[in-house]
Amino acid sequence: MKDVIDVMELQREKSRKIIPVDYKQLEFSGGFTPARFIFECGIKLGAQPLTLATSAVIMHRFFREVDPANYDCFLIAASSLYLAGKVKDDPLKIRDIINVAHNTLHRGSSPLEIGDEYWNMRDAIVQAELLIMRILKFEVNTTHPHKYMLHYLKSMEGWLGKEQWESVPVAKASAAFLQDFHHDPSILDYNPRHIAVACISLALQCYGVQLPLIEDTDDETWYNVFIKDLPKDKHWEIMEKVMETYNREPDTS
Amino acid sequence: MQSNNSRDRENHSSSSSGNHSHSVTMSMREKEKYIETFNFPFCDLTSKYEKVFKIGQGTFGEVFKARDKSNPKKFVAMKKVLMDNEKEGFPITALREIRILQLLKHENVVNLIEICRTQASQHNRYRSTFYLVFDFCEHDLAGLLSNVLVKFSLGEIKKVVQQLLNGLYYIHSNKILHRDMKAANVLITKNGVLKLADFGLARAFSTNKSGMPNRQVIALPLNCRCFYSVVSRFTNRVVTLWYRPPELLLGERNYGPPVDLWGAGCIMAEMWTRSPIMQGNSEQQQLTLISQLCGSITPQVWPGVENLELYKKMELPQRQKRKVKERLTPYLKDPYACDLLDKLLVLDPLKRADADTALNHDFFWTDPMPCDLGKMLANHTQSMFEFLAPSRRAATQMRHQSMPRPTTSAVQDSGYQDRVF
Repeated sequence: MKDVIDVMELQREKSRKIIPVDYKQLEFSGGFTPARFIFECGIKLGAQPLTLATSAVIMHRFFREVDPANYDCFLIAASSLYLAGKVKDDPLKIRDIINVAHNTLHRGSSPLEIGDEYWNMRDAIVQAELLIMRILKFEVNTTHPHKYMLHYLKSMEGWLGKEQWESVPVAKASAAFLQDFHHDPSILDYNPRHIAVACISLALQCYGVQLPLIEDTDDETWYNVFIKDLPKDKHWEIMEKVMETYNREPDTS
Repeated sequence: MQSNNSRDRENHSSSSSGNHSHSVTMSMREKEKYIETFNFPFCDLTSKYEKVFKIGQGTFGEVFKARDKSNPKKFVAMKKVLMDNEKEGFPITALREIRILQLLKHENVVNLIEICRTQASQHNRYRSTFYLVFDFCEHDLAGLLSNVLVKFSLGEIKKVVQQLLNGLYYIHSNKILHRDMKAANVLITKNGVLKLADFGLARAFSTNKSGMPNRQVIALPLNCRCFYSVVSRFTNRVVTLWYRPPELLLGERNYGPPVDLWGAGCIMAEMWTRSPIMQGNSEQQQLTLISQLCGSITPQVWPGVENLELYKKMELPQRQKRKVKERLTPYLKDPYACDLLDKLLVLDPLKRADADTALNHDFFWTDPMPCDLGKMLANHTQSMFEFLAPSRRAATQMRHQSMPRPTTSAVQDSGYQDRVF
């Protein structure tokens, strides 16, 4: 394992302009592709961030239980969004999901007419939802890292001091890392508190922020004030996983 | 995305116009076979149980008593999930109930064992029906109270009310509101253990600093959309009319745990009166009955009530004196019981006792102390449910001929099935 996180890699100028990807050309890519599809569709639908996170978690969990080759990953992604909306009391209309999903897959096409194709798709989403729930044992509650992150960040606000807090976008970057980490199924493998800490650490490193009154040594780290059960190597491991997520992004430059 | 890759479904194959190359081509018969034999490791077939008879009608479906085939001594209750709107998929209300039941694990809350499915076959157009499977409880409180042969001693009543409040304390600590308290939703096992049941209308709530639940909560100075939560205004169309607290009748939408404690008070009084204490036939009449028992609803006894949506629209009897103790003493006799009820049936939800306060009341800590119901219930070998009790059911149905049913209704489900109770 590396003992330095190459933050330069993260800062390297990626082309800012996001070029629309052609999902039909993409592989399943360990779940990255359907996750990206979830986020793109979900943001277009105006879904809440926690709904998107839930949706990605449901989708990743589903594909852990089955052979991904047997299922259309975009159907499962759309169904996960629909289900997550119900779970989070942030209901998404199925008609909207169909229109957005269809247009995202077939860019520039006009909305589906109410006809066989529309009804087939609607029925497929509804049936896939029932399939997903049975595969997941109807256990669709998730403990998100978000609430922990919020509390850690809130405490750090006072710790860093107002001036420095406002000069660096630590909170924003942490939240972005956390959301992007949902593209990777390894989000399922770690304790939500640990994920929250790792995302914050990464943000601190990116912006070179040093927390006052704390020396990061072998047996003392900044996050010890929040959690005691995160060994250093695990901390690094999660940070690396978060960074690896960015390497999976299809090359759009 | 295309439809015919989800193979767990009835197939409309011919018209699929998808252009994916990896679609699986199967004949209709192969597809049916595939669906029939699809193995769900975490969702067993209902055929592992054998239905005995119907014991009730829940918020979204029928409830059956059933026997576990692998262990004939074990009984369960199976509650059917009504899929009334197939086009919208799994009902959000059912999903909410399942999530809440998975979260709540407590001696005084009904235990969800699993969720089962029926075999998909040509008889159900290859669509399964789902059942929630619970530990079986022999009685419900409404059933017990309607049977004159069942007599509770004061100690036994204390035990029932204590367990009821214990259950409420637990669910409220977990930020869940029951929203449908009534005697028929309070189950009692043959050993005398009480279980809160029917979470079909239950919901999560959040509390802000001022202790007022369900207001916009987190708005920290973090400019990330991530951390904002949605303002949700609850429906006030919950809780069976006879157990509905005044704040809901007046249109409050930012309500919290006190709504369940009002219901607990009504149920507690019913332990002595043997029938619901305020049987209004409309929201207006219910408010009148409440005013006659608890005194006039005024901003003096309930600051802020004047701001509630329906305060000016409803007719509120004036100059009514509070007569809770006076009216109930003939039934209750025990002064501690009267005092506790007086603290539960309080108009202003902010002044109503919470579950913790109620549990600390002297009623539970004076002689006769709460005592086990197991021995008394052992005299009754017949299961007692309100649904099966002829007298109570008939009485309610007679009443129903001339007035709307005192059932719970929730505005969110339009295809709502009225319950028998």
